[in-house]
Amino acid sequence: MTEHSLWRFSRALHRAINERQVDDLAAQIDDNVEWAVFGPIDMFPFLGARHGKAAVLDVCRQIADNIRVHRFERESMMLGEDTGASMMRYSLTALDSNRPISLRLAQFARFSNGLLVSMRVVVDTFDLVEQALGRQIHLPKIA
Amino acid sequence: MKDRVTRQCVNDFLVAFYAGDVDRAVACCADDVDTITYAPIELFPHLGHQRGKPWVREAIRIQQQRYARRRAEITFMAVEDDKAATTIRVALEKRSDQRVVQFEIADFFTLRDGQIVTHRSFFDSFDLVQQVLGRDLTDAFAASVQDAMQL
Repeated sequence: MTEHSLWRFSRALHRAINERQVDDLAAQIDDNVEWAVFGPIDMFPFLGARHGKAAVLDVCRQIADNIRVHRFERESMMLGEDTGASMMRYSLTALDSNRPISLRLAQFARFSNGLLVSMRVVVDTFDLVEQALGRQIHLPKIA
Repeated sequence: MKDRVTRQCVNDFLVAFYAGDVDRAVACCADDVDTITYAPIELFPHLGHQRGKPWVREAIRIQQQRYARRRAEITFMAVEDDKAATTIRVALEKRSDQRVVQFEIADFFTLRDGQIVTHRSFFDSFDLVQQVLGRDLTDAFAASVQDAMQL
């Protein structure tokens, strides 16, 4: 039984972030990959949309320059024929400030011929911003 | 076979939910359905952690109360046995100022006996808060976040 592409991609992504080795990752991404991580790009410049392998590898290097993954837990995972989705809980550290961040995110991937052609990542960004600030943001109550 | 049932149930639930068809949406859920939507509950009191079918009715009621028009398009679905994950592009027209808020939701479902028993959901909540408030919060916080993170 062949290993699903999402497993391979996931390992390569973590290696790219924690060990700054992007070769494995590069081998698993289509040249025309569409990549989007929804979130405030003015605060976190490595979020947002990218197109093409070079841009994606570049943003992964940017992520590696800024964070280290300590632990992750797959809370849910679904593997379709050429699709995969997972809900993950990450424990990260912002490298320069050493600030710990706990992050929940969802990955939605599409593959073609074993290569990643689309990745969309949804993050609970309000929680992320509060953690990055180190305090709560007070919001008005709406009944 | 199980994949097909799961896909159909999740699709029926989402279509019914955004169409405001309470009975059909409730029928897709188990009595002990457990749902968590990760979002600030000051602004979204119907979200957070909820249990039981009444949540579905209440969530639809609050959305209908706040938004005049609701559109949703399923943009991704992965199914494996009794589990499914979707992304949905949603557009809601606010009754208060007729502005349309748009966002993408990630939903994860687990089914039991053909009904939804767990539901986990989240979205770019910072962006949605800004849209709901009609106010750009980025300026207020961007510098502080970048300082704190040393980005």
